[in-house]
Amino acid sequence: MLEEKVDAVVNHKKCLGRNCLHCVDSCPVEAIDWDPIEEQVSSANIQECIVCLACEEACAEDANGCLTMVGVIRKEFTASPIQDMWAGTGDVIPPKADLPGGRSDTRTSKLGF
Amino acid sequence: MNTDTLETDVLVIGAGLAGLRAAIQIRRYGLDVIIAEKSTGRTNLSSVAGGTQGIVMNYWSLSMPRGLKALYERGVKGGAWEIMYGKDQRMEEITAVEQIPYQDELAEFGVLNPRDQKTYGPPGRVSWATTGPMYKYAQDQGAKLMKYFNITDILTVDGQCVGAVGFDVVSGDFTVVKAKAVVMATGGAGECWKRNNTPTRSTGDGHAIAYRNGVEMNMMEYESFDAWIISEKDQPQFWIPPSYARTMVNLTNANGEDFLPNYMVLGDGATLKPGDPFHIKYGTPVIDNVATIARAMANEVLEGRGDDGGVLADFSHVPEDAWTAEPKGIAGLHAMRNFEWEKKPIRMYPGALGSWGGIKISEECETNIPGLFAGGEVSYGEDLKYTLVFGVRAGRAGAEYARSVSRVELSQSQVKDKKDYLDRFSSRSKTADGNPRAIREAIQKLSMDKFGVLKTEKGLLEGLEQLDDIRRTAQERMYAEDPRELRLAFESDCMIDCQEMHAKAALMRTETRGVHNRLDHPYMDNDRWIQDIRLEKKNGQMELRTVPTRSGYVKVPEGRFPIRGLKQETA
Repeated sequence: MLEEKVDAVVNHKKCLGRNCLHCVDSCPVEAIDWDPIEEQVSSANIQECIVCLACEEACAEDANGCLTMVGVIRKEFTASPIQDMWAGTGDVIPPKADLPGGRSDTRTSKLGF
Repeated sequence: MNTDTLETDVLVIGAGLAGLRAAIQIRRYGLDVIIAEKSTGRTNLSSVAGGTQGIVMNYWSLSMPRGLKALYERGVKGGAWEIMYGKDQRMEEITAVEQIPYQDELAEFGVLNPRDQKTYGPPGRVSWATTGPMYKYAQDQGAKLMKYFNITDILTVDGQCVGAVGFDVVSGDFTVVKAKAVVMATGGAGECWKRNNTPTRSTGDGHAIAYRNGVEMNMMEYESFDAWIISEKDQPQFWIPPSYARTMVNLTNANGEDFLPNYMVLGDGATLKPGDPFHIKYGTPVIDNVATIARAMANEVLEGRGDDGGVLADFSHVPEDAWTAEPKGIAGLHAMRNFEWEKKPIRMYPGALGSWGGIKISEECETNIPGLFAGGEVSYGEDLKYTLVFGVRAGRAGAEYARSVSRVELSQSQVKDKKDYLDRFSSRSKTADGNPRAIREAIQKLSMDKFGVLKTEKGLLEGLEQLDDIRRTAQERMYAEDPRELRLAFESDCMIDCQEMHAKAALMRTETRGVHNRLDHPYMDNDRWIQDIRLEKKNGQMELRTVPTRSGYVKVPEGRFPIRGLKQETA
């Protein structure tokens, strides 16, 4: 079990409230919603949260950066190096090519091109 | 409600993988493109639970075939959703050939390593590693992304698609978009079921819009159910995403039995040893048995061997560092965060994932309405490879069409009709049974009860009757007090049409094939059912017909084949 409870912590002083709702709209599972009675973003359904972090990202990029997800495992992963897709092809010097007008072309080219 | 009017060359509806890829393609032609996205674009199915298992080199599909012929034949003979021989062989060939270069091309859009997507990205948005960079790239290339813009219908003049209408989910302004071509990339309808691992906005809008405009629909009976959905109190009712740790599950029924061998064909060398990864334990990769596992789970529960409505997934022997070795494994830990999975099994039961059926498209993603194209889950296919391939094709076809036609004046009376449709919801008084959320929940519950993993004629007919009642209530009383509620009302309205299509197509297909399970027809019938079920609205009525499934060189075995694990006495 995770050591700390997963939750979406909102700084309501910074939150733009109903004029924003990017966090609410970014949640794919309605774990957070607008509470019309308290008139603030609520994490009443946080047990539904799939920890996608879309709310945190949306708030940081499109709003005031007032929402933080807590209790989540934030391990960084890096992509494995992408192979040069064209690596391994050698240079080819073609024989003289018969081109229109009696010209020839001896430019090198990557194999297969 | 104010009215705005926009003009563009091509309108793309939906900012998921298919829509973004289509928009990128359109921009290559130098054409203007608007991407209409009803939410923020961060949480479509592509991003949240996207079919990364469709990627060619995904590691955990350890016996994924290599080579074009093998990929093609796998797609025809089953593939992830096991719709064996029931798919268009030409479309499968196109997908097999084109998925690899289009996947590799993702690197040009800033996707870090298209061949190795398992290794990075936010844990709970398994494919945001792909869609995130594309979301940015498409806009950098000049595609105009309009967030919070909910398209609610298309516009046609003389049978040609000439644009669409919708509303701003924040301001409520009604907006008309004049376009020379429209690409529908609205995703699927998994949210129509109570249990699902699709985002809230996957409500089949494009399916409903298309159907209402007389677009031919196809394969609507095939809704895929993913097996790995948690069914425990205080846990997210969402999936444990595929990870190597997850493959080490011991899945049992309430009697402690490993029930899967009763349903699957075991591969050579299957160890059946608890704790072994799936593909070693059963000799066949989990990706080739997704539909079977869902069917098995549902049947165990139906026949009384379930544990409080689910089966038991024991992960207690899986070391924690197996989970934390990859993002999707961490997502699994997050999903089980309030549960002592190290000590006891967690209950699981299938939930809706993706819509195989949708708009009937040609190889070039044309529909039967000139000027309207479709790609991604709203049309053919359901996982990442189809989405990419047909997203490209839809964008290309839309761009080429837009280049070839002149702009057409819209019919103002038609625009008014579309606006009146929305105004109906906004003008109604609030009532308990007209609450769009309540109507949505009623559709979801009904779908799970009557249109779930395992179907019968009786259940489908009962479900259709109940759906009719819901439709009447919605037509007479569904209301919307603000623009966000209007979005909810529109979605609920779309869900009704989607489920009627799904149920009627499922009623017609009297066999079991892949994700489509009929308990009263527990066999795959290749003599009768190598057929597509097409569906269209004609004279106000839903009409269904069959068309032979397009064949290729893969020979379809003749005969009727009992489905393992399902009772055969009703056959």
